[in-house]
This record gives sequence, structure tokens and C-alpha cells, in this order.
Amino acid sequence: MSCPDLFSVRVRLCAERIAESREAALSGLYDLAAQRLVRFGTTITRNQHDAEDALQTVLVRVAAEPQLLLRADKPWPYLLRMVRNEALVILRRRKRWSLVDGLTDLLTAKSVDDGANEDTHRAIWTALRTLPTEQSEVVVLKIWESMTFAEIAELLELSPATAASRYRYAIEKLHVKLRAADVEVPS
Amino acid sequence: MSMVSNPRDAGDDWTGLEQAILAAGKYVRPTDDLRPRTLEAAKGHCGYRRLVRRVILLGLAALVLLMLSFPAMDVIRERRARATSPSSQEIQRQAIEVATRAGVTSDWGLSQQFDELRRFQANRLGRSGAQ
Repeated sequence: MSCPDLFSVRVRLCAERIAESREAALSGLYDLAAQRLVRFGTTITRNQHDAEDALQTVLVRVAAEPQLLLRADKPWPYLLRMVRNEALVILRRRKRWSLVDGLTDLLTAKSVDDGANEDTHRAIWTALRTLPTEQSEVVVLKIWESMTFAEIAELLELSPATAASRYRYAIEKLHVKLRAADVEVPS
Repeated sequence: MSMVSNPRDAGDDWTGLEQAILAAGKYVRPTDDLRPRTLEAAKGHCGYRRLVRRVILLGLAALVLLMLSFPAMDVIRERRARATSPSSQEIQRQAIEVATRAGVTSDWGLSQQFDELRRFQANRLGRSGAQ
């Protein structure tokens, strides 16, 4: 990253506040990053409750050791990696039968103005869940976290070319799945 | 995002799909109780860590005190031994021993013991004066 990532700067500020006033300042980090971390965790665990458990564990750890984020060169990718690692631990621990079909576990934000797009959103989330985790996490990082392939590669410990090819396969699959589900995606 | 827009060949354009995925990003939100649950868990965990740290510090402090107390006790014991003078019974017993050993009367033994005691006290006074 050539210029400092603004979100990382905000995460670092939150970590500094946590270091000063301990767990009392954790709410700032929660308000800043929880939604993004939960949706990222959900793409790995495929279950929002597990993703929230992963997030809770990570934030509790950050409250106890804010130096983890303060020492990191890029606090936001570091936090994403912490959530990813925790989500993978939960995923390994979880039995296969507990995998959720559909989106029943998700708490969705419904807006009156956005009602028309809800079907599209649901279809996208459903399609994302059908992708292998290694592909869906690249899509999430690329599109929702606006990361470059180099940054994604660093976070996931891959080569940038692998990250790019995973993204390409994922997008192609999503395109096919959404077309099959009769979802109209503007080109 | 040229690489993204044209992942396979120049004919594929995924911009619309990417925008649709981007818009779906805010569709999922954390459950309402996650925030208080997380803050409460953090408070409990940090409180527990602080307690553990205090107990460890107290234990270390107690250990250091204990380690320092052994040499201090020796010094105190030595000083007390030096500060106390023998009792009259002790002097008489020693006088009898000296008299028996040297083949003299007990008066002479007692006199020698007192000499010895005075010399010892004079030395001790001299040493504490020098300190």
C-alpha cells in the first residue's frame, strides 16, 4: 500500500484509545468495524452466529492486548486476519451437520427504500455461500474491503496471481449462478 | 480494476455484477445483542487478567520479602547475641571451668572471667564507636 489506508488509521486510533482507557474504549472499535468484520467472518463460517463468536473473541483479545493492533503495520488487514483465523478455528471445531442452508442465520438490514433490491441482495448472499471459502473471501476482500490483489495476497498468504485467479473464478461462478436464479444484474 | 473487469478476456465486463455485490455488502448486520455481549465479555476478561496480574505481583513481592528476610534474620540474631551479656550464673559456671582447668581457686577463676568479660565489652564498645 503506497498511501496509508484511511480505515487502518482509524483502527489504529481506536487501538490507541483502548490502550489508554482499556475495555471502556472498545465500543469505538466495535462501532467502526463490527459490520464489516461480521460479513467477512460470515463468508468464512457460513453462519452469522459463528462469525459473531469469532468477532467477539477477537475484540476481547484486542481489548486485553491493544498492542497487537498498535504494533501492526496495517491494523485493518491485521484485524481482518485475526477474525479470519478465529473463524477458521470455529469452522474446524464445528460439525458438518451444523452447516446452515439458505440465509436463515443472517440478520439482514431491511430498508424501505431498498426493498426492490432485497431479492438481489439475498440472491447474491446465497450465491456467495455456494462458493468455496477461498474464493468467496477473495470476493469479499476485493469488493467490500476495496483491497488490491497484492493486499489480499498478503492477508491470505497467497501470491497475487492466485488471488486474482480465485477472484476471476468466483466472479464467473457468481455470474452463472445469478443468471440461473433469474437475478438481473446491470452490466 | 481492469483485471477485475476483464478477468477472462476483453469481452467479459463484470462491473455491473461487482456493483451489485458491493450494494449487497450492507445487507447483513450484526445482531443487536452482539455489542453489549462483546463489551461485557471484554470487561470480564480484562478484569480477570488484572486480578491475575495483581495476584502474581503480590506473590512475587512476598517471595522477594521472604528472600530478603533470611539474611536480615541472621544479622538480627547475630546482633542480639552480641548485645546480650552472659548472666551471673553463666559467668560462675565458666569461672568454675577455668579454675578446674588451670588448678586455681574459684575466686581467681571468677576474677579471670570478669577480666575476659570486660575485655569483650570494651572491644564491642570500641567497634560500635568506630562504626
